[in-house]
Amino acid sequence: MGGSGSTNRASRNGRDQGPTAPPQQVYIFQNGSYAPQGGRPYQMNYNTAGYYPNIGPAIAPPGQHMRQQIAPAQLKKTCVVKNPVNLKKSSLAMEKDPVSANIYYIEFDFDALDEVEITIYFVAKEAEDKNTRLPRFTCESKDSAVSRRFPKGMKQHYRSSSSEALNLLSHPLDKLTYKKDADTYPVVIELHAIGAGDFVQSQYTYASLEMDKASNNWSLHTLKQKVQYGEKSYEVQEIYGIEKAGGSSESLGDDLSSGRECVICLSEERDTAVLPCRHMCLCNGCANIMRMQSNKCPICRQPVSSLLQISVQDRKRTSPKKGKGASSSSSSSAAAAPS
Amino acid sequence: MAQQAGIPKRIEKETLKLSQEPPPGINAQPDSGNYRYFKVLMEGPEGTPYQDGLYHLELFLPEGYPMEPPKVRFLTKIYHPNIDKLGRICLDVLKDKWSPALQIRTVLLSIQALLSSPEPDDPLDTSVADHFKQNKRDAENVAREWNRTYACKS
Repeated sequence: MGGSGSTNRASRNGRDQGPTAPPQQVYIFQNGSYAPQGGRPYQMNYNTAGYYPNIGPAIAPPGQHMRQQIAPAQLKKTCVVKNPVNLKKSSLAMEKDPVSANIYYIEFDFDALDEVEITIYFVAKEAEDKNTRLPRFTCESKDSAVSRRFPKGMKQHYRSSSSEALNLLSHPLDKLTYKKDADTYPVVIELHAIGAGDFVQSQYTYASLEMDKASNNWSLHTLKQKVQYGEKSYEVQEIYGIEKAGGSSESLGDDLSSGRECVICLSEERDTAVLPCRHMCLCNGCANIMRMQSNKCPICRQPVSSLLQISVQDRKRTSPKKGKGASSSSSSSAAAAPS
Repeated sequence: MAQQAGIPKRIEKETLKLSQEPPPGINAQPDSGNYRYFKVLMEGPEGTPYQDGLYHLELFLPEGYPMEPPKVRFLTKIYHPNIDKLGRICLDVLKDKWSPALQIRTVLLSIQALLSSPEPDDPLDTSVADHFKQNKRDAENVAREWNRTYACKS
């Protein structure tokens, strides 16, 4: 099940920000079980200074590594928004036509909670529409954008038809592989949810062709994914370790190495990610203890700017599937940084 | 302390796993009277001057563990540039590079790795380190000698 979160990196929560401050953090789950309340972002109650009133740097044991006083990392306020369409990044692939060596079919799996229009642009330039402030893609050559509608449904599969296939000869070869700072993207896949009316909800997947020298075939690699939520745009980024979270909870506690337990207490399930490095390795209890005593990520030792709690309770309740089935379809992503 | 309620559970889990799946060449048993104090036996790695030796160490988990690193010390005398006369160990993960994601197991494996690859450029005992730097072969002979004398009692 895909869980994804987003944080507004540009604005860090100030310490004195009261509960009445506007929600600056947006949290996105790419899953039906994370519906927002009343269509509005759901605010999570996770900015609780003094949650554990008894602990603080003052009583932290004076270990060698914590001689200096550490400003506790802020727990991020997050809210949940519904993202009705999701292309599973790991499933994106390209297959050569058995006859014609220049024709390639694009394939991927996707989930749609709404009717969805899928558009693939080849060698496209991105610009912001001045009126709607939405991204707009223009292709250099004609007939380079192909669209098709799909009904709503989870675990659907897309494969280019022969008229939608990518013909390598139709495009300048050097533009099919993305170079840094290039003004065109080789392949852009738009999943646009229909049915939200004027409120635009789309997901964009940017990909580039790479020559696989061993097989002498071209393959498709994801560059990035973006989510458009109304006028706001978020880049989707992975949270490391989230694919192990959730799923079956029965064995947790007895299993010594399920890989889903918090790295600090080795008991509770992980539900808190460290930012900016995005390592999901803590339970919320240990996160609260840790932020008072250390400012480094337990996994990579990078300085912590904030902690992001990700609720997985809904997932457990609404999808009692366990093990691989529930977790392998995860796109495990978080969106960040409005563009 | 209520906020540390989960921590003894962590120690319990680590202890159980250490006894069920001990790391190769390492045995760690908690003291019967103190679950934070471990007696450790470590085999000297093969292909090093410490080969065939059996080293005793003590490991203590301070109150702040795992936010604070464990305290580990060699009880058996050892000739090594990063271990001093008192058995104290100069190892980054026991100091500033400690992370609560590390465990007793990983710390002991790091110490075992330190025996395989001494770091004379980051010495604890400078005279031993100088010896290793100036005449590695001679220093390793001394280490072998000490290994025979103190770590091969059987």
